[in-house]
Amino acid sequence: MRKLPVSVCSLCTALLASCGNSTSGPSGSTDGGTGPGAGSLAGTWTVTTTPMGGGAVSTTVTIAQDSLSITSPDFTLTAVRTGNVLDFTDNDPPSDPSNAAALAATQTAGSFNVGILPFNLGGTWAMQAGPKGGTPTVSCTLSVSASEIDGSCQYLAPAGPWFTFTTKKMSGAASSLGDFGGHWLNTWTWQGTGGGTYPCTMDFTGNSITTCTGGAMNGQVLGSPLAGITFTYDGAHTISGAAQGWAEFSATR
Amino acid sequence: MGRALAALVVLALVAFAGCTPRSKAQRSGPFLSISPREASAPVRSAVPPATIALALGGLPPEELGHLREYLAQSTDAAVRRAAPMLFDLGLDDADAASATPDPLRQALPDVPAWTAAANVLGAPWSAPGLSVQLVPTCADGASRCVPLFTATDDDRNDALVRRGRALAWSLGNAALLRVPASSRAVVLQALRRVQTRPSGTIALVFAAPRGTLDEAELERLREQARAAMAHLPPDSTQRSWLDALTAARPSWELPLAFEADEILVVPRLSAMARLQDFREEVASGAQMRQP
Repeated sequence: MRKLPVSVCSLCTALLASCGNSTSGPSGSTDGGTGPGAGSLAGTWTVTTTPMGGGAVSTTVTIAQDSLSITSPDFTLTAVRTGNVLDFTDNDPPSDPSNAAALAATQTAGSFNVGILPFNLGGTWAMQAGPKGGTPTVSCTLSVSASEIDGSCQYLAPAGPWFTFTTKKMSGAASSLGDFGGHWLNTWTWQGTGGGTYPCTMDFTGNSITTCTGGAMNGQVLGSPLAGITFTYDGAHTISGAAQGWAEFSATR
Repeated sequence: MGRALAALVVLALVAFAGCTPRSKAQRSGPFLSISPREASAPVRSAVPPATIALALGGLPPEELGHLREYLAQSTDAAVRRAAPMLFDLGLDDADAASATPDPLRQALPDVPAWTAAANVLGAPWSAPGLSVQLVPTCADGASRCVPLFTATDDDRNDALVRRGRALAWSLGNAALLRVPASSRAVVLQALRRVQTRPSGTIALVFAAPRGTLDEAELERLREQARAAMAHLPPDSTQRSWLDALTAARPSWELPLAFEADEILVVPRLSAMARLQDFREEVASGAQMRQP
């Protein structure tokens, strides 16, 4: 659970940041602006997260063009883009490189306006993940368009289903996140024994993201992993929100 | 009464904006003393022992009983990890599939208060490359020394001050309201009503810098926490909070003093990018009337 708020914050940050070779949207400055939607998230962020049962965790997230690094007491994650391939390496814990995991995501670019966000996300992605240097154990696909975002993951060894999701835009809204702006319906399906299907609405408006209520707040741990997320960027130097409805985070650069 | 309340609101807003008509001497402290330090590895802060008592002191008094009721509803053993995110590669499907609702989740509305209380008591605060102290006066040699309750644009444009205030986020962004004694109960109740909104921005409300919890009620809470502990596995990460509950003492004290006619309002961590909402919520709390 400790990793989840960091992951949510970092993923949102990564999503909003320049991890890719931007093909749409303006490139941002490095110092950020002062108004909503101004600036870029590039820089070094100190992220505070609050795992339940322990003290606050301070994590450093550094975002730069084509690279992202996260250094937390529990794990380190680096992401570097080369051409159309985004490579992630996760050391968990950081002191045990033999436990490193890797994910390689290959993009076939497509149209998607990310608004102010210099992140080339549109198109389809094919991902493989597993122990670093070892045989991939998980395979995923992701397709991103202005009207629909779908994905799925499955285990490779032994072969078996994991999850799938579809995300349909129900209506549009003004958002600094371009084509993300609007009201979306995500339907998440955990496959296999004990699985189930869980709808979750998501709203992208202005500089904020709000997903359906749930997560730990109502005990729907088995439900959508997207439930209970709030994310707000103040347009300058601060991000804050919550994951699972309670695990708060903030980040300042 | 209406005019009195309107006057109170104006006073509260003025105080909140850092323009309270207090004398210069009164506004001289406390300060945040912020210093860069050699970069170090990311840190995990310990939970200060008095966190629970302080959190309960900053929550509405009835929350102590509510928390006991939440725990009393406890029927399940462990808080399981949430469904995996994309990069939680080590989480297997058994973790995701077999997670069960946990009664401790019932207590989650109080978690922002616990989080804020832990930060309030966390001085001196430290993060990689940064150290922040709460001091009554500025000492020579401090890299930056800024008034706790008065953030300026200069502060916000200074990366070191900005990061320092974020590290001491609870007090570094708190609001200190000056409220006449005649309106104190009304405003306090209104703020605490706003405080309990799930999507709200207020974590803690203090009418005094120190206080004492209802000892009998606290003992019942401790008993319930001990009972809940019995349902948790030995390695549960939730044990430390329940341990803290069982060890909670009735007295609590803030690390700073304020006047008898003042109320301290502390924001939630999740509201750091919504401080304007926090200000508006505090102002709206100050404007609410008793039913």
